Amino acid sequence: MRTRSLELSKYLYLLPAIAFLCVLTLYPFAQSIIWSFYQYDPAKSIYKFIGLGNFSDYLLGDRFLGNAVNTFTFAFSTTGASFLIGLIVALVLNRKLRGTPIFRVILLLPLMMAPVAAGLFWKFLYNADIGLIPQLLSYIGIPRTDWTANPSLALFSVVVVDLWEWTPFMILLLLAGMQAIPLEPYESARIDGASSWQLLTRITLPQMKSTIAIAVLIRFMDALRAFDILWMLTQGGPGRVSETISVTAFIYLYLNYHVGYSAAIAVIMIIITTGISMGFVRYLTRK
Amino acid sequence: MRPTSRRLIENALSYVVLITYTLASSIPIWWVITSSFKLPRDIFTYAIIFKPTLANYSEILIGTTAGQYFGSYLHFVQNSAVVSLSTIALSLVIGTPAAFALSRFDFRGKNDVTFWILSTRMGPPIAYIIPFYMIFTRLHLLDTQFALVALYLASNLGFTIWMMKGFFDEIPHELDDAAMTDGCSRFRAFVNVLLPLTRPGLSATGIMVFLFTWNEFLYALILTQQNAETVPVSLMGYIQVLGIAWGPMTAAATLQIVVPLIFSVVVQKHLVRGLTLGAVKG
Repeated sequence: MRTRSLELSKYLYLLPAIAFLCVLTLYPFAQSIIWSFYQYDPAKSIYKFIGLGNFSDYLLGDRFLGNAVNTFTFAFSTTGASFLIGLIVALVLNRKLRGTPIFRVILLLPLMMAPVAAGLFWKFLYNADIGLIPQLLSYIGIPRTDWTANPSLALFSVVVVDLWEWTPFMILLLLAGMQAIPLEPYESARIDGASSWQLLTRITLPQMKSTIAIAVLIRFMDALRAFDILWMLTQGGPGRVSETISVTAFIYLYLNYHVGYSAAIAVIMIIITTGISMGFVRYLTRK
Repeated sequence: MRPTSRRLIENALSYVVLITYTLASSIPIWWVITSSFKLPRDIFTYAIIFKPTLANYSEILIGTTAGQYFGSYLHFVQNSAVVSLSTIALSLVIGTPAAFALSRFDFRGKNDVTFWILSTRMGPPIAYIIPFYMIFTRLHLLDTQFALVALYLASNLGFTIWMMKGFFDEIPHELDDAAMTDGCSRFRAFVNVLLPLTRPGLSATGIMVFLFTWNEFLYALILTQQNAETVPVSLMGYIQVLGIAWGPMTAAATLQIVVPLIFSVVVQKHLVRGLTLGAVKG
């Protein structure tokens, strides 16, 4: 009897959170799935079941392939680069050299800047005539060009700003993982005369495997759904060269009011993100 | 090579990395802050020496550049503050007990539940916003602080639980056992013994949630118009027919960074410890 009530009280701690999460996350997902099968345009009071119509329109239309390529190019490059840069900076910060606390505050600053503001003022920094970046590059002989309006640079310019904004978050996550590693293995390895490189590859990285996996997963998911910076910098342009899946979903919802159509795109995104995160979990729990 | 000289080289390299990265990442910030004190003609010159002016700040505080009414900026700041603080309070109150349970109890499917909770942060925003937009329209809750808090809770509760679990995992179980053999109920052990110990965790988690909500743009853009509009959305007002009003825009961006900066300097020691990522170690 006593153990059963103890058993029940355990769930009481979890219950409010689970209830809120169900209402706030499962319900909208379910509703999005339902609407994705409808042609739903509240402005014109159209609500008509069209089966997989929205899906086939989007997946077979002229936008999807480009959207998918852009989304994954963006997500892979920003995640990969922010992991490499983040790892190096975190390793250096973890050495606890003199002055690190000051560096730590300064290098967290971009994380505190609103992404929408970042998008706005980077547009200035990228401007061909007045921007800092084309100006600096012109000193080393690279002709001035407006980065966000140049088809071959537009997506890259967004990646740079995303890296600038979110690499500090990666540094925080990786640093946290590093500081959780016990010190004993390092001490005995040092006595055996191991070099710093060996310490890194034999102890630090293997010990951080799950930290790295989670940090990369979080960053990758955030990159897949990135919106603010993309929208402020390029709005998917010029043409559609930097248009991602979430930009298209936004355009259909906010500018065209096709609720069913953007719900279908949202469902496609849910399927992609769930698939990737399930793969990650399988990788993590594999022993 | 002798170990000491090797160490010297490693330290020197470390400083090179730190300084390069910090410079690259703070030049844009430096540009924003200095521009906010410049007159328009100075903004375009990158002048390092210039006559500072507060014109941009007075413009956003009492002017109407952004097509807003007098005093609207303070109204948006108030909205942002109310919404962010309510989200922090609710996520901590609801999330902390759940984090405690996930850290201390064993039950079937615990890993799945933990991961599901973390995964709620990863859903595409558009999937949340469509249904909520329609519901709030029907309930006449569009353009209210309540609507924003609901959506922010949806995207931050999972993160809160996951981060707080990391903090509880760091506290040895012996502490709650000792409290309970002294006659405390489990709930009292949680409230009186563990919660005070995780105060750094609560503040670090609060800061991260604050960063996510204070700067959030997409939900606020779609769900608010004028009444509940937040500062990030109001920045759009500086995009004007003749181009962007850079002076007021950079001033607003500078003010936007002040509050999170103060918060994170205060708790920065705990910020790193909070993300120990103990959540999915299997």
